[in-house]
Amino acid sequence: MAALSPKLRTWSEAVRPDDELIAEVRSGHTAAFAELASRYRDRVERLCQRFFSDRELVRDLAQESFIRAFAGFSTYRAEMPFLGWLRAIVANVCYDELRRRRRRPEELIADFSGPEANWVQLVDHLTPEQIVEAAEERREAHILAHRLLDSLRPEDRMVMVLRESEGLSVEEVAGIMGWSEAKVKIRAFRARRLMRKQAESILFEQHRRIVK
Amino acid sequence: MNCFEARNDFVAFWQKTLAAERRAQLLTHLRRCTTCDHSFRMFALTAPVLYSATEPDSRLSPARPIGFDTDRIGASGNPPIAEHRSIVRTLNRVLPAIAMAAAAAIALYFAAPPHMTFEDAIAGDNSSVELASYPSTDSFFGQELMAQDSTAQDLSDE
Repeated sequence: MAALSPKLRTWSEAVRPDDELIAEVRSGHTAAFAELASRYRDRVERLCQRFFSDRELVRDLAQESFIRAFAGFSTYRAEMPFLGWLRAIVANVCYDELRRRRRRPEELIADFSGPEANWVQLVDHLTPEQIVEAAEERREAHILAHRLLDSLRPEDRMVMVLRESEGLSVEEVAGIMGWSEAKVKIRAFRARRLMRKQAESILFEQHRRIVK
Repeated sequence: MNCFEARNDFVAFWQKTLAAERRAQLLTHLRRCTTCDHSFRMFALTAPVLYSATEPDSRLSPARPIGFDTDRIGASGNPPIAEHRSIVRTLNRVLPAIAMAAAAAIALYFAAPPHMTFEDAIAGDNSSVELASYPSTDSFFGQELMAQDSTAQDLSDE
């Protein structure tokens, strides 16, 4: 092993299992945590992006999540997946940030213009295949989606993202948020109903504009 | 394919993980069923955030490299963001106390009897007198002082 070329050594380090790195962190090697952080950074940032569109904020929240994870590393239990434990931390960091921010009033959702209005026009006119392709390239598609989701209460948004985007069960969401399963179900119902209502009003507004 | 099956396939269709045959069935269904077509368009309004794997690059905020600086954590226990936030929080807590202390000190200064009267100051050979005298050309908060006393000038004109 000592004679490994730098390339092979990098490869062998890259495939080291999480357990090994976690054991190193426990024994005081902070560099191992840096490796864990770089391994999960994309996943963490992706989850933060489900809540916030500002890239700088997303990076800050990802960093904050890793800091909390590092600070509370002693609470991690080896029997649970590291990603699950980390996801709970990220979710709570994002939840704290959502609660700090003022919720966008629902009435303002239909009142938009510029690139976002153009995106609604495309959604209304393109074929489903074209919509999927266009959404990948258009930032305004994401901005409008964030505006829609911003109309949700922080609790409802947490449930919406964790259930829909992360594909977690009611029980898992309840465990992460420290809520009852009934609360998660109610929040999910409310969130979906409001999202449908908002999307309906946006498309209705689009049709009204065309008629005008 | 019925409406229930079609709607269940929305996410996989959006993420392009739907098998070709199933995808064709879905598209056929969407062309025929206006209700599901409308539902898909509503779904498409939030799907970019909820179901997309990636987000388009923002031209407004270019990507900057991010790293987890373990050296700083190891050294101080306070990495950059937490450090910044804790400084702000500390300042928010401490600043009112500093302001109150300053106000109390000023009040005490004016309330307490002076150690040296004005007459003492100008009569005696004291360096503080020198410090208190300004040449007429000096600036006062960045503004040039007038060389002459304008009020005296006006009175003499009358």
